[in-house]
Amino acid sequence: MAESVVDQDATRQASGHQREVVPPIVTDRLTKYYGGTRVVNGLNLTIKEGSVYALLGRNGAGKSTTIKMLMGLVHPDFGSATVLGEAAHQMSPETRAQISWVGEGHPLYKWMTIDGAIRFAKPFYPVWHDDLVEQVIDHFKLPRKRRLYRLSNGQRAQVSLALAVASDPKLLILDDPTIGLDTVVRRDFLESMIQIIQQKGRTIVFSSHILSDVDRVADHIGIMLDGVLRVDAPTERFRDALRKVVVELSGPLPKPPECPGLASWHQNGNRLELVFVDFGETHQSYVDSLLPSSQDILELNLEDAFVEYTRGSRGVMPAFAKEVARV
Amino acid sequence: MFNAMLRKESIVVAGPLLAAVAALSAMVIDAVYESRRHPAPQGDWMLDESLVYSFLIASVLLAMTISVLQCVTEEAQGTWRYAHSFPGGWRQILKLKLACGAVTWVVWSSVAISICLLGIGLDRGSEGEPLGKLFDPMLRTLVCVPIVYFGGYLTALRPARWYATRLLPLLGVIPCWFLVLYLPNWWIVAPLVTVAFSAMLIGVIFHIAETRDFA
Amino acid sequence: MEIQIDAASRQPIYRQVMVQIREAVARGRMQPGERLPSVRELSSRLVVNPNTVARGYRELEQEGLLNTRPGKGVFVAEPKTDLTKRSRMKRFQELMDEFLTEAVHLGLTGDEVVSAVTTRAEGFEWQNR
Repeated sequence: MAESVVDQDATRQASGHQREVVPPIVTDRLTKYYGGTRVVNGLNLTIKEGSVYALLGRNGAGKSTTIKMLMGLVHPDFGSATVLGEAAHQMSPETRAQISWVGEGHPLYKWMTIDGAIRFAKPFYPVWHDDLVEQVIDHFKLPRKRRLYRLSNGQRAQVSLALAVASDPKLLILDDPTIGLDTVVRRDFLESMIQIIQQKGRTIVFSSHILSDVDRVADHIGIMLDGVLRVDAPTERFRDALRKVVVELSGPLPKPPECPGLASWHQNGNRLELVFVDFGETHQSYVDSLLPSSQDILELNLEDAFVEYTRGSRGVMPAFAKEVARV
Repeated sequence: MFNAMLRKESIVVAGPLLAAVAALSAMVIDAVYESRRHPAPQGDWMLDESLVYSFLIASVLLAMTISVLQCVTEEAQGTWRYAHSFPGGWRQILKLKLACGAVTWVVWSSVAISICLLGIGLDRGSEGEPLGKLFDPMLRTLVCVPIVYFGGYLTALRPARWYATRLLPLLGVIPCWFLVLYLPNWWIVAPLVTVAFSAMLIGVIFHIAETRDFA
Repeated sequence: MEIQIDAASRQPIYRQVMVQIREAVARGRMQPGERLPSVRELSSRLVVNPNTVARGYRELEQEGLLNTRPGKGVFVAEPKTDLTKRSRMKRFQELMDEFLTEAVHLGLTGDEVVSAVTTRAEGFEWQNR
């Protein structure tokens, strides 16, 4: 099945330089069961300081549960999660003051006005920068005296983000922050995120389904499949690792023979698409051994790379084309 | 922090509080009219009983409503997770919410007693003595209302997933409460029982929040 | 100059930036000594991670197309003269062979190629040497 794509350099670095900086997030065999299912299965994740880390995966892969464990909302059944040097569900208030969280759907007290929401949150934090909130509110011209339930989803998302940044956190955790937002509003939100990223030293962890947004913003990605972290690498490295080889065959194959590194395959008549992880000489010989009449080697954008990697084999397409139906 | 939370919780609590005040006032006014229309040989007794019942019912319903609302409104808006993300975490949020409950209890006590005193004053048939007779059950009620409040809170608490921890406090509270109300020498025993029970309930609330998942 | 990126393209974003800057310089839209937008400015404009822009600038700097003046910014470099004419011609011939092979496969004649090249070259800024 899918091979793990792990950035060897990063893991070597993280373990070798432990005496220097403690990574803001480290999990060790983090596991959580819901009923009989292992929703998060032995997760070993290390997120370096200053990185913008996107946690990806299909629905039910365990991203949300992982994030909840990082925030101390959910107790792990096995293993540990260490955030800013402390156990995730026993973080001291001083540590928690350095973490900001924006959850799915941007939960806020919707009957409050923007000003009211600021006034409510401010006393809870030892450090609060009014000017940081002002910046976002002025830039997007958000109506300060209007109640949150009367704002659009996009505006509420901006308020959530503004409130999250006001406490000048070292770590920002965003659980699917752009869900339900339309294209334009998502772009606005990304703009705000870029502003945050430009101020160095912050670590951002976010989960998302919009891969083109992830490609813009994230320098590291982690892909979870069935509760396991299958990919943990810089964005570029993952993209680079996948290649799609499109071959024309003289006749359709019932199923391509096994090959290590073959992430997925898809056949449509005489045309066979193979997706390889770390395409190399062995894979080239494999392709040649199929005796193709033509072959094309293509790079993939992040979305296609993600889809091919997580979907697995589609096998033969359900028949549109008569030729396939005959077979 | 406390002010911010109090301001927010007041909005949740204000509705039921006003409703309870209105209900109590209505019941008191009704009792006064009844007493005037049918002055019994011991006119005060009717007023006494109705006042006591009204007071009891209004106090208990208010306590249960507030405790449940404080939990449920967070859940309905999904804001438990938001509040949890504040530096103080769930511990601080819980403490503040319970403190707001306590403030509401004080406010209710003063307002409710004042209403009853007013009712007594309006009922011309009553003498000085009834004050003593009324205060007794009213204070008993007020003393055991905290138990109802904490019981309700535990029942509605988000992480309490089992039916045992949801129903048990509510059911367990009722016999204890009757016990307190009808004890002789209640003014010594009742506060102690209340404090002990409340402490236990608060302990269970915090234990559940500590060990269960908030998701 | 206007740089546009397509986040859904197969080409990594940093490479898209590089390609566009290279072309702008080759076409004369950017002159040697001209200042490029800062990493911060460009990352805000394009709505991409500043590291992505920084990488593009860095690789172009390694190629010799850009140089960074500390405190001042990133500028288009003066055309390089370190490679001898002969080695530059050799590199150009390698590229030319690829290009001419393609032209043959596309079924063009030698004259069509020469005439097309002459016309197209007018859109570019050539160095007088």
